[in-house]
Amino acid sequence: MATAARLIDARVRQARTTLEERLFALPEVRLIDIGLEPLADAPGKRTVLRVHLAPGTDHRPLAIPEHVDGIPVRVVTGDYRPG
Amino acid sequence: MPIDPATRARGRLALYEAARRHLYDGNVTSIDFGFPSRGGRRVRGKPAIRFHVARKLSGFALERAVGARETAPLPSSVGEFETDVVEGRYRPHWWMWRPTTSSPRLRRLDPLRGGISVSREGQYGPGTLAGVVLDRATGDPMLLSNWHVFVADWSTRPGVAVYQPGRRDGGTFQDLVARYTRDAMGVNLDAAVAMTADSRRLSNEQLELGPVRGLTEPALGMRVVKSGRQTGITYGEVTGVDGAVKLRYGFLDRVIRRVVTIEPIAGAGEVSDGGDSGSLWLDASSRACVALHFAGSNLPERALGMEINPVLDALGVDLA
Repeated sequence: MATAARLIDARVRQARTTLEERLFALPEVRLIDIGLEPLADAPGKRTVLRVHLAPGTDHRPLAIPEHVDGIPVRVVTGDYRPG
Repeated sequence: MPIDPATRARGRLALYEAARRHLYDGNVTSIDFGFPSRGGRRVRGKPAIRFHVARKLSGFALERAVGARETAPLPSSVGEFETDVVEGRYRPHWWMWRPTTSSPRLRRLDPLRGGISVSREGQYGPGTLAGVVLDRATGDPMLLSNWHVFVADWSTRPGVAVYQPGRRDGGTFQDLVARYTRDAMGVNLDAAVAMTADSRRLSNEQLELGPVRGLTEPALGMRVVKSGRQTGITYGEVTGVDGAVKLRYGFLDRVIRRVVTIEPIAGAGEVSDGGDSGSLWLDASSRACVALHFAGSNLPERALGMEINPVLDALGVDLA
């Protein structure tokens, strides 16, 4: 099934910047970006902010917000290295 | 035609003098005493001091190499003997062995193009040549890859050699293709360019993918493809844009920005692995360039690239 490409508007980019300002200093946070997730009750996808944590990290003490400026925030795992 | 002993003795002295002055020139590969060539024919009867060079330079190319301290002008005579300049590169025959491989990506290739093995001298970490770019100020051709492929060390200065193939794949100083010139780490981009320093031809093609056709911005859901030294041709889907990632480079942590995250299509398969660094991610349908690959994760399987437009702007280059 083809997935439609989506352009990101300035509001979403600003929300990502806000999230970075809040969380990026935490050593457990490896990457913050803008992503998509399927809608729970309808076809299609919606834009979300993603916080990538090191594997095995318990995100609960990090106080990651559920939304920033109305954009949902999701926690994912990622361990990145140059190469 | 034999050379008489007295002439050979004087020639030997002239040879020592020439070697003392020029043998350590970066472009000089050998110096000997022999019959020169003129117009493609060997001129017997009057031996000369022969300078063998990796590249025969003249005019502006010579001027530039001298200005860059890559070589020095060679004399027209040494003592009573005229000089001759011939092209020649030599290596001990037992160094002719290279790891056997059926993959063209790991071999010495001509023309140079994206998707093939490169590394800098003194480093074994494998990397990929992104492709050929043009200096915006001068129009000179340069090679593009990551900082951690062309530089890799915080003490590295411009001028360090780039080999194709890379050292892991048997590359040596005989395979020098470029010299590191500048990078974009100061603006949070793991990218660098190197000025070409070899006679090999240049192509804007990606190995097994064809030519790069322009630039485009990444978009969520976009299908992309790359040609890389490690995993060859792989496809993926853009699942993240406008990212910022923290990575360790040597003993320093750095933030890399304008990150594009790429994951396997339908969640299965491999998109990249170590050694693909420097690959260009292209829009799978248009073959327009989207991002420069620089990092990844195996669990889960993800590739990270930097948006290509800010990379090119930061380096002051354009895709060829």
